[in-house]
Amino acid sequence: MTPLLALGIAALGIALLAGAAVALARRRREAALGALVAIDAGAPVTLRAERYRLVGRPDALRRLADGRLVPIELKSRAAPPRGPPTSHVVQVAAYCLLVEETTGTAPPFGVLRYGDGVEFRVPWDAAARTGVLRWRAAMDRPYDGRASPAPGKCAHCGWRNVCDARAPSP
Amino acid sequence: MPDDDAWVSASELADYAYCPRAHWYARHPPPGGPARDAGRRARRGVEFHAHALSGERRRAEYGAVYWALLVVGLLLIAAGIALVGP
Repeated sequence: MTPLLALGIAALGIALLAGAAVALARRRREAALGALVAIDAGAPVTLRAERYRLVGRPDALRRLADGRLVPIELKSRAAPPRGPPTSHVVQVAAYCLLVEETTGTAPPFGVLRYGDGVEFRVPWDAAARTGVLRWRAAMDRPYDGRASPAPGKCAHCGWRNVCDARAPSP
Repeated sequence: MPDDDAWVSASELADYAYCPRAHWYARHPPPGGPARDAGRRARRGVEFHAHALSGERRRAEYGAVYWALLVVGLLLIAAGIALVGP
């Protein structure tokens, strides 16, 4: 047996150990939000709220130990240093509303998980409900030309080349 | 997704909250269309979701396999050390 072969075996062991350890650490963190009951990868679930004519498919749904469901929304970008933007919070709040309407039980919070692994819990409370319903009501009104330009936002917007309301580049 | 236009999805709500004008453009694309990189960004997002979600699903379903791999890894390291030996 050559030392090179022994080294190869040990290296393979280290690679397996490291890969498994990383996966188990992630699994442990994910499982802290409860058991996975639906995921938008092979086992998706579409939630509907007739009352609000709202529909949605969260990236994942987990069940806490007390039985309540928690929606999880993934974002590919890194976590914004100043916390989640309104649009992300509104989306998770909409999923919370859909979970509540579908199951009859309000989730305590929704989760935003960013590409760098950072997570935010978005509380599902009276203020969040009021907020999401206000946005929903606004969408029912005829579009009046409103825009919410901001340099950082407009720079990443897919419509920046044709938008007459865009903010100057940062 | 319901056929009725009055239904709104949670992601549309997010688009509207991001910017009502961008949401309007998405529903009524103006001449010139979206920026060239918009499609690429969207594809990157889809790939990220597919990768991250399939990983989460795998980790949830096959936890025991990862423990087994951990043990195998330890055994291989021990074997490598033993083979170099005294």
